[in-house]
Amino acid sequence: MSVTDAADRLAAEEADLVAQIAAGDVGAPVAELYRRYGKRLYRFGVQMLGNSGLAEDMVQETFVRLWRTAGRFDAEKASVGTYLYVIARSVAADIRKRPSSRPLLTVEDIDVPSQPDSVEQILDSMLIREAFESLGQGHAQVLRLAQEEGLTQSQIAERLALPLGTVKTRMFHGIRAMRAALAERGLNAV
Amino acid sequence: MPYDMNHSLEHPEVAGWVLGALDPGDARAFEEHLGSCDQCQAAVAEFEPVARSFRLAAPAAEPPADLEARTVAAVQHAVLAADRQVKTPGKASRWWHLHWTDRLMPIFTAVAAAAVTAAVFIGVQVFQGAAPAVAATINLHATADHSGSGVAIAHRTDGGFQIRLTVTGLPVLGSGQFYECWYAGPNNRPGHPDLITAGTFVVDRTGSETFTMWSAADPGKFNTMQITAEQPGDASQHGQVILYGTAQA
Repeated sequence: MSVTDAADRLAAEEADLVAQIAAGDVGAPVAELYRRYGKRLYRFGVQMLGNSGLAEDMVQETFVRLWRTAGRFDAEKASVGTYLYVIARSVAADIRKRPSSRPLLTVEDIDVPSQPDSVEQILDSMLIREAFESLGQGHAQVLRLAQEEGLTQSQIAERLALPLGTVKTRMFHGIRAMRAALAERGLNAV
Repeated sequence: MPYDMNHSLEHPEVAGWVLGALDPGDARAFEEHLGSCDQCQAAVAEFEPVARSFRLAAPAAEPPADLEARTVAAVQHAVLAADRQVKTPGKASRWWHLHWTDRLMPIFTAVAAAAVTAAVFIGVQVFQGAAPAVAATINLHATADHSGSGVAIAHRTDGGFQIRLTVTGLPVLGSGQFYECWYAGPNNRPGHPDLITAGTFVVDRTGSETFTMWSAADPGKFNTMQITAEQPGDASQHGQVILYGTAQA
């Protein structure tokens, strides 16, 4: 089966799940779509709203609105994923307008909250995270220690009890794999 | 100029260089080499955007394990709420159609305040009659060494309690086995069970199921729910508790 065939089949399967929701089945089809998109939507919510609790609210409300509008979903116009992000974006905007979503700030905190990036930047940042999570464990491990903990190659070798040469080659192949994973997601020049 | 893979394998430090992870000695040596090596310069140019991308990556935030069950429950709540709304305006509009005439207009105006009050009262009664009130919500969490989550929403009905249970992530059991849902009372302890069974179920191939049970047990008194895996036999609880949760009013 070609990549296009697989993508078409997946799109048809997801459109069918939305049709089942529109027909009133809000059990298994909702759970299945959550399993496919819940994590991504949650991360989108964390980025948009800067708060895990509000992100949880956003995910739940996104699926409630999916059910409300499922009858109007047109698979010819958009994929289910795109449709869910459009809903999520609108839900996030509504949540940000809620007075209760604005945390009480101390004087010291007032300068801290940053404005969310544009939706496109957020979606790119999520694709980068997904690309990173697609790497093999050996590659991801050395890259994570270098990036997130700021360790040098010899410190990584010590931490993982690996020869220094192995760390160097894993880092090299890891960055190549990451470049390919970004390209697969349409992020050729970040 | 594209980088040369074979040459780069001789200088794998290029990755550490763009990530800023080379040890000081290696960094100095590679920097010296880099100044005179076109191929390593090409490799640096190719990998630098990748290194920058790490800094732009979204945080690795993981949703809580029970968010799936809560999301399914939220949609089911919305469906129930919509059912109520469909029923209530139906009665109200019929009343409006029968009474809103020119002849009754003056009377209506005279008693408007009282009528509104009465209508609100009647509306509340109709609303309460149209759909049972939520008596408790129980978020179910996996016990140690088990997986899965769930949520149960109990509605008070004339004959007891209707419980809508959604579970996800449970293992598919072997032939003949089934899951059983229990209410545990305040005196429940090992050797002295204070349990009422609410129903049995199996999950689909994805480990999920949503269904409705009825029970006379008040979740306000029997306020802990347990899910165990059982097999045919007597009606006692034999399996380990896989999911549990406490009723929230």
